[in-house]
Amino acid sequence: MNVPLTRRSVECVSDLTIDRWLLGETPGSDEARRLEQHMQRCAVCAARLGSLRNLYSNQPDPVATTTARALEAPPRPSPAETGVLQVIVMRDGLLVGTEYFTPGRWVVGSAPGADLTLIDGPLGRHAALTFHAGTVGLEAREGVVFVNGVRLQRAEVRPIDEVWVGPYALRVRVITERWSWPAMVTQPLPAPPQAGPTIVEPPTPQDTRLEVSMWWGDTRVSTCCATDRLTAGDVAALGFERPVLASRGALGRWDVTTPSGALTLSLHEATAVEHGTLKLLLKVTGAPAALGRAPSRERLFPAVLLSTLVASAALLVSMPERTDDEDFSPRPLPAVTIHVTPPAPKPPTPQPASAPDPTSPPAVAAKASPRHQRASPPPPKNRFEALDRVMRSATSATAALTKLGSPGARSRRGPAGPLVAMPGVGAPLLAVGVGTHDSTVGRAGARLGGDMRGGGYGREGKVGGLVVGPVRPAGLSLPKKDGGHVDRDAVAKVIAEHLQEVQRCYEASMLLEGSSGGRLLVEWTIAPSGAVAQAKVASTSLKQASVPQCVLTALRRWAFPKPKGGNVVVSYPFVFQSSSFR
Amino acid sequence: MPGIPSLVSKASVTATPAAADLYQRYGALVLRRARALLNDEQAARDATHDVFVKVLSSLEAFRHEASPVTWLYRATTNHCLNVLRDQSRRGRVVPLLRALPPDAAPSLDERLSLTTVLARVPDELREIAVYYYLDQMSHEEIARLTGLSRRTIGNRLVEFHAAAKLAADAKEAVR
Repeated sequence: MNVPLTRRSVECVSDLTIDRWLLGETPGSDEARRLEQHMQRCAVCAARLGSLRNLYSNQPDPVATTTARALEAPPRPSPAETGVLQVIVMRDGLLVGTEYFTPGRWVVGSAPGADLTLIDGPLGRHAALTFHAGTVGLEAREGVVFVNGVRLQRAEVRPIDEVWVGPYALRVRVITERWSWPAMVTQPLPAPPQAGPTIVEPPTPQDTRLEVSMWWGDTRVSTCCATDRLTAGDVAALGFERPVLASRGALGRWDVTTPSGALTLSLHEATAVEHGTLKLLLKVTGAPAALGRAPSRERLFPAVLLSTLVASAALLVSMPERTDDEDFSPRPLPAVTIHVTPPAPKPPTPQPASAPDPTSPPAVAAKASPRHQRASPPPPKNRFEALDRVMRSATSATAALTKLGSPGARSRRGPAGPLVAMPGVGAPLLAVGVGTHDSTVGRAGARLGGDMRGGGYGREGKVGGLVVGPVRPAGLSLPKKDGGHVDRDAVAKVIAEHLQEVQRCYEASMLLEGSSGGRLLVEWTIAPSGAVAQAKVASTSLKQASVPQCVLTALRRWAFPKPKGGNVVVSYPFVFQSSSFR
Repeated sequence: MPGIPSLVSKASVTATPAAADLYQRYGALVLRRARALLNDEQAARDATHDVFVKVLSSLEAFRHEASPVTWLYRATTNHCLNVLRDQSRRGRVVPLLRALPPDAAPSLDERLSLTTVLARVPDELREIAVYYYLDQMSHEEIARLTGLSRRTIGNRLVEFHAAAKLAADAKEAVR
């Protein structure tokens, strides 16, 4: 096995973490919890986990097995050679016996040469069973055959069908081994013999579909299903990097184009495309109505089964998933919630200096500092001037602003830096500091968001997080209905949990682009569902071009708490410090 | 005073269950990593046995290890790197660049094989490169494992990458 000098995605977990989890060294720890959460959304790591789990449970190593299989290239069984047919014979409601058949054509009757001899049954070669490609067909020859009570000449027989031959009732069952790779087709196969009784009428193009799944060894990584055609986009969406196309042709066959050539798949045939350790499996399956079936008494059975499954699935989804070593106990969080008031609906109008709006930022500053009120300064020309004014009077305004913004955080964590009230355009704007010290980074080496403190405007060296309310400080226009509020500590917690991904983005860029510190201001919108609706880089002073895109890619996958009342825009600066790294 | 044969038999009787348990629990882990590092099935099996001999020789210390997996990671890595160094001393020729299908257009990082690059870089860079590329650890994990600072980890990875490219460029120039 040659290990290339490449890395998995930046947010992927290491083999050591997976190994320790598999071998029971980290039960119930934060590390295990993060791993389990990551496994739910990362197919690559889930595949890696499955591969290692197989290895440690004394299963054959999928990677090694795949390699050996590729080297030795044993002949795969054809579709007609898979499985064993079991016929269960009953009479008068009692089990008479069972018989097993390999794929082929077998005679049922009481004739001396019959393959399934029914003593005391009808004479001669009564019927013929055909077992081919996992499908069982029945053909009446010298006698009469009833399937589910209806007399038929030819029919496909399923396990739920009941076949009557004279006084005997037969049931069929197809036994396959432990699931194995379906037989692979490497070249177009001849059409199945039309004389066979398996298929009463050829399937029409609407009757087959192509099941597409991606596998890592024997572990299914992802699945999709194409109904009429498979495009390169579908394959890429699965995570498979080789171009594979497929479209349905005549008689329900599928024309598949793979990097190694084109081939045609018939019903119940499959092929696989390998790329590295991943395999893309393409399998043609038939819809139940495709084959000429006997009239079924169990017409309602699939519907009942389906509804039961749906109900069970809904019950399972509604129930919290628990395993023995999972730790989903609620973590005690301080109940600090900042409600950001939506802006007043009136349009921005200039406020006269003599009668300041009590909600305007200069008034906020004035309220914080009575001396300012006495001075009655002229209204600021723009928000930055107003902000500078506030910051200049920070000694006295800090306490008032802090009191305005985040009493909970202040009381819990001590003075957390000034909370900034930025003047909006004729409407109040509130910005609250995230205020957390949960960062685990910020030690040696690259220093990332080490000192996260509430507010950061104009304070060099402090890294701040802003949960910005309905009015954007940067002047971006957002509809007013976007005003919502969200628990800022919960947002900070999500950011802190994912800081490792940001860290890895930075580390990954070090090798190729060198290292230098900088500040990356990211803005994103949290939709009411908690997902990131849009994310962008507001400003960056980083020299590494790959870091912002990497951070945005990771950020779009984060799940935030659901805001109430609409979207919430979050602005958060990540500061990378690399003091003496080359 | 018991004779030597009885002592040996007693020791083997007491050591066997522990050895068997350890091997059953961690054998696949060690073998998997040795196989990836040495790129040779027989050498990997030999290395696995050697690592477990080390484990048995310091069994008590191993039992008190907070994370046996981490201990085995380091032991396997160091042992396999020693094996690789011995092989290079004996003049075993391994191709530097991986053989890939002609239709693929991989980058240099994809063509370079960790095993072959390892034989061509200084000792202090190799262990960290193994953790970074083979085990996909982050700088922080490597720092925890090796006890070095994260700055040192980053520095050494940059050096390793430069050395690998240098070796590849020299190989291309010879062609």
